[in-house]
Amino acid sequence: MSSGLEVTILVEVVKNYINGKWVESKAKETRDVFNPATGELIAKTPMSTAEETLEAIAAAKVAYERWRRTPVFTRVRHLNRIRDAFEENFEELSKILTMEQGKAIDEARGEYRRTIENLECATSIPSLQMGYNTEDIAAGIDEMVIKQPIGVFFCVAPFNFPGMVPTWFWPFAIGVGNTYIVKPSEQVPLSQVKQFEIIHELGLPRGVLNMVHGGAEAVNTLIESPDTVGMSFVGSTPVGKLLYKKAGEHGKRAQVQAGAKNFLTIMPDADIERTVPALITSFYGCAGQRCLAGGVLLAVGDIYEPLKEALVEAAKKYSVGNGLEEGIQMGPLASKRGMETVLGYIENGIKEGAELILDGRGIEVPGHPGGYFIGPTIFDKVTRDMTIAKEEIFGPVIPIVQVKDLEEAIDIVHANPYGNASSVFTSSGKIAREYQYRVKAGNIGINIGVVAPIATFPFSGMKDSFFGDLHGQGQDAVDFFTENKVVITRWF
Amino acid sequence: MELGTFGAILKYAMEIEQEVNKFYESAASVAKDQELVDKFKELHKRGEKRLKTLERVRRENVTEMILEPIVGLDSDDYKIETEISETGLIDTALSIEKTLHGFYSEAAIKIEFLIEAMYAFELLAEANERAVGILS
Repeated sequence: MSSGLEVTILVEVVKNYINGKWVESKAKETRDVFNPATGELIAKTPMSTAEETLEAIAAAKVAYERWRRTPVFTRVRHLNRIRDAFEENFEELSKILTMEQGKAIDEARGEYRRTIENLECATSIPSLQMGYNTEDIAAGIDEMVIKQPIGVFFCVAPFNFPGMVPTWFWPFAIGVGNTYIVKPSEQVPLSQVKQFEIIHELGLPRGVLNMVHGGAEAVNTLIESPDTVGMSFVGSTPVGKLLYKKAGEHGKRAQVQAGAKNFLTIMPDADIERTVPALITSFYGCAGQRCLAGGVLLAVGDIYEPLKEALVEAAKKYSVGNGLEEGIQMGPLASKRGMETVLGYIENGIKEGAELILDGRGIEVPGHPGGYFIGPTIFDKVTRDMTIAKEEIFGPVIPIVQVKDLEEAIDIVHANPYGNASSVFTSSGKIAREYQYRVKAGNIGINIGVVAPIATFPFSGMKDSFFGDLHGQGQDAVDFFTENKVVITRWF
Repeated sequence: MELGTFGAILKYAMEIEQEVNKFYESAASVAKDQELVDKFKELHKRGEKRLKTLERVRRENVTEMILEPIVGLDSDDYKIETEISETGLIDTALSIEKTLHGFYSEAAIKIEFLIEAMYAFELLAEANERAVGILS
């Protein structure tokens, strides 16, 4: 019987997808792609040149003129076909995702569920793209707003959700009549390659959806080209800020989802039994490599000791291994570099005086000596000024800070430059409402560890976690990808 | 083995369903009594649908936001015996259905935070209960 762990990867140097064709990159430089559970080389990503990036832009520009005239129901029928094909290939897509990114197979399935939900949401575009009008704004004169597509958009995708994140954007972009270029993370290109292989079979008109692999040269070309109109980015704050500025200089629309440090506040009246699994999932899910992952645990008052005890007990039971094995709860870090960064933060925490009460370093996963694994890690006696309490670790580490009350917790949350997500665990509606009302974070959870908005809601963010006005997903995405054109009419 | 994740539970469920399917297929070919043959054939036919249900549940009902660890469910508690012997077919089938009923009933409680999946498991357990009635 098959173990279910085999996934055949046919690619060596992955190809670009331009104008409906698979194109070998002319790039001399490539980046190695590794299976993070084993450390094995599984593919290479070309650092595409400016010239081939311009080819993709040109193809998307030509396709735009026909595509925007394609009836809206025809456009969304294409999205429906893609949705169905992703459903049919669900297991293979999930396995490829786990193989290149490392996350547990259940998490990969969860990611693809959300990928499909984005496509499902975008099939509502015939409604979501509707404008509005008012009759008789003056005698016999009417005014209306038409939501029109704009041109060629592109996204620069991150390594932590290589299957889902591009679908925060492109289904909405092409659904409203734009054309699109996906620039996958060079670290994890295979999920997008598989998605494009599936899409290729479905007859989407040439040039509507393109893919260019690469790094800075490709991204700079996409931003600087006069033939692109907007960018969606998900990644770190330093890079996001840089690209946001550059996009502005070139007159482009931009939505930039950046870094995070998400504070989870646990009030004394929280239900510990229900809270602990939610915290474990928040801090350790996807090996802590979510922009919505728990970043710091703020234990308020008396709950500190019993919570710490329950958390350590649960964390010790959390299974770590190759994400392709069913039952594994946490896979490896996505890259060796990522693992080294997290190990650096752990060292730093010790050096700055935090108490390491659960040490995930040096964890041994049988049969995977080359994997990038770090086990569940917990720091106690963390203070607000320590590096591990301030910076995004992006790994399976829980820093626990004891605070005296809600005021102190909110003060710590607000002192941090990020504002992606924050949660409070409490049985009190009053406290929950207070938290939701006051805390400056784009995504607020009440007894929720991973505050992940579904496809019909914007994936929000504030402060240094988001630059722009309109977010990915839902109506925000439709508004980002359309121009409101005002028409005022009078008939003689 | 502890079934600590949604995927682990579904994988185990699919594995035992496949085993059960093979059992009913063989049992139908071995049984002498036509009434019994028909019953086994019917239960075999049901098996394909159950597997499809489980595949659909695994695909559609995984919710990334609340993939919380599951505790207290162990596959060792739900081992099934599928050996074919002409004389003990009914007893084996009854034991299988009772074990599956227990497994799905307990697993449904463990995944109550995934309400659609829980409902699917409850229906599977109900079908096992009905099968016990048919076989008794």
